[in-house]
Amino acid sequence: MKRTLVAVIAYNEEKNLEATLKDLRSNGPAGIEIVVIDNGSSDRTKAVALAAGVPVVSHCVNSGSSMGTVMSYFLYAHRNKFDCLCQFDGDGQHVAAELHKIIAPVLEGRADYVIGSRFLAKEGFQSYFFRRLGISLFAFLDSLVVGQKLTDVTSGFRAYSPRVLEFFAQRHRHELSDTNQLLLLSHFAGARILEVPVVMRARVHGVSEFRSTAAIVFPLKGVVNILGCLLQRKRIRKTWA
Amino acid sequence: MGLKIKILALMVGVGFFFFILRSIRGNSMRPSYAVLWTGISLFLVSVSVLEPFYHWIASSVIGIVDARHVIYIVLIGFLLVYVFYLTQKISRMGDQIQVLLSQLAIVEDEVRRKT
Repeated sequence: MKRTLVAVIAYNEEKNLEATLKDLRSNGPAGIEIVVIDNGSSDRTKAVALAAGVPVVSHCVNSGSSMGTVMSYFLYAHRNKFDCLCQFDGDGQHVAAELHKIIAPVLEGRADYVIGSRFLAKEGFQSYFFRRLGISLFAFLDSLVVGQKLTDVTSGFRAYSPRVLEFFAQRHRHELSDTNQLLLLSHFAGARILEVPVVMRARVHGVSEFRSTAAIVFPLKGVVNILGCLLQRKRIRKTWA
Repeated sequence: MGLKIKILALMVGVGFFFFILRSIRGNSMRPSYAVLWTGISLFLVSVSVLEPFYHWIASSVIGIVDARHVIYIVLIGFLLVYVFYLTQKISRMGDQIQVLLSQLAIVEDEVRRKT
């Protein structure tokens, strides 16, 4: 029996987390295991997760953006030998009933890095204008590098194969700054990338980590990260081989 | 270099030197870093004491007429290299902190579930 871990990442999501976990248990694929990765929340996020009876990996301090949780779920999934790992946002944007779409390609051995894209079917929440603009830029650049058309490269609705887990948990233990870096490093490491259409919702409570000031910093940081990954390409390929 | 400037440079250099010694005694600076900053403070002291020597280096060896420019080049060059080194160090420490933070949180969860 292949084991799938759903890592629910949360930062100050006490109002959304309970409903997210309920959705996962009621509408998620059968047999999935759940872990909440709490990025040093200052509210009752950890208490809500513990009350729901799920394992909680809670950072003692906030490590900046949500990318700080990525290392934790890679290490957790690798340590517990899962066959598939999914990232699922604790803010209620992701739909548990859509999980099977990103899990199936990994378990069937068709892909190593599956992105749930909200822009393929163009249904549900399509994000805000400036965010979409930034995503389009990254999608264009990442598609050029990867050599296949990608649309929602910053999507947090992702699934990884054990090959990707092993790479980030063992071979590339470096701080990750954004999803472009995660995607491109996985690609250089030999991961097969796949995008599948999914539906997302708008968050119910709280605010996104992407504020108005991020509209300037977010694209700049992304482009710098893409260039950085290109420089690391040869070394990554050697590491994987 | 005027006498007043020489005295000022000497005082700053000596003051800096004692400040570094205090930092080592108080354990607020690693000895390996302190060696570097001790070198800088001694360089500041030497600027006032060994002025003719620096003049000779500047004009005869390097070929720069004004010795002050050599001092600026040396100090700015040193600072650039040192900032680069610190940036590398911070990046490495960022990676290490992230792994430690994650490992600690995972182990804490395992302990919680066992007890």
